[in-house]
Amino acid sequence: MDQAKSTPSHCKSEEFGAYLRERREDLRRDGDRRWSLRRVADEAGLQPSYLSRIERRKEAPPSEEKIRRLAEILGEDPDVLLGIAGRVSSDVREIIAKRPRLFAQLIREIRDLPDHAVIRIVREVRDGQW
Amino acid sequence: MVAPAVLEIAGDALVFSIPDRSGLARLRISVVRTERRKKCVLRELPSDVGRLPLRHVDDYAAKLPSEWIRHGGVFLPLERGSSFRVELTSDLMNGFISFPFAVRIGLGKICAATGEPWRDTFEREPKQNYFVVGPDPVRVDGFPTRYQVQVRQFVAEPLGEGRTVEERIADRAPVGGLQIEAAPLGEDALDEYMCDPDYYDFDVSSDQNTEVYYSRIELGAAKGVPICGGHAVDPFELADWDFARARRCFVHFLSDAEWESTTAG
Repeated sequence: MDQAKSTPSHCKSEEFGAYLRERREDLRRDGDRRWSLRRVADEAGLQPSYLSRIERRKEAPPSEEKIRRLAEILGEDPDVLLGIAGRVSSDVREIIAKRPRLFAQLIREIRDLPDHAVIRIVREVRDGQW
Repeated sequence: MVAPAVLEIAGDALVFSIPDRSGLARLRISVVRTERRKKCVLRELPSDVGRLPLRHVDDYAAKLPSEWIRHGGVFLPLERGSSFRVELTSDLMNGFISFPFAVRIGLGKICAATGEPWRDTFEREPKQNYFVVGPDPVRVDGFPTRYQVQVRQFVAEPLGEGRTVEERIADRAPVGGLQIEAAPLGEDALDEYMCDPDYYDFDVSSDQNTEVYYSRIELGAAKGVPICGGHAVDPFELADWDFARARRCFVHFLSDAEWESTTAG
């Protein structure tokens, strides 16, 4: 879990645009044109004018698929970017929908736990390729 | 719906657990540093020096080789030339009965039960390539020898010097480390087992036909002297095990000095 990029406590969709712009401008700080609005829009399959309106908070955040693509381009955690956009990833929604009472109860119970305690609940040893 | 198995670090052990109608079935897997034997003392096992701590590789990804991240799993500190064993213990469920587990162990992907290259499945023929854990802890101190109740002690050696078992018998790049796969007993066989657990024999058998290995292995060797060993013949049928709920883990080895610098801060 990346502590530095944890989701803000209040996720409003108008903050999504500001966050996106700030992140893109940070990457562009050294004059690297890969992070120009036009280039990022092209990479994400968006019209530059549309991305500009999103960044200026004149449009709502795009679809989950586009948010994921923007996260990939900008090196962001997709769940964090979705959270800032006020969304929950569709695979997470599906998991919750299978046992809604259980997960609602779980989330309410752990809402105030510190990060390390929450991680303890779900931390399993990951198996990879060998 | 059958509850999935969970594999996690708890203290200095890997814990493989499944919720079961009788309670929580739990297998603890520890790596224990042991006294390095200089000569054969068959009736006396090497004494323990201490259990080795475990960490998730993902938590130190920036400092560990990319190959380790690809493997996933955990890592622990182990000094060159030191000996170690693997301990398998099944906790009592509800305080009175241990849940059986089948466990495969490899050192550098050389099976610790057969001394042969690691295979992808649990097998009984031609040799049983797994250990069975019942009411008593199972200790795996080394590779098998031609004598059924002897093994050659695991001793740590680095890769790349041609001294490891895998470098001598496997035709591939060495991988090192310790490989573990654990599976619980299936529901039907468990029903029968719970009726009469004393009927099942988990004692070390003298019927195993094993090979002799003299080579070292990266951070787990067999050049050590012979000590008591051997493992139990599975008292269940292969089909009795629930391999669909098996879980695997790659345990990587780091020298003591590298462990300190990697895990500091």
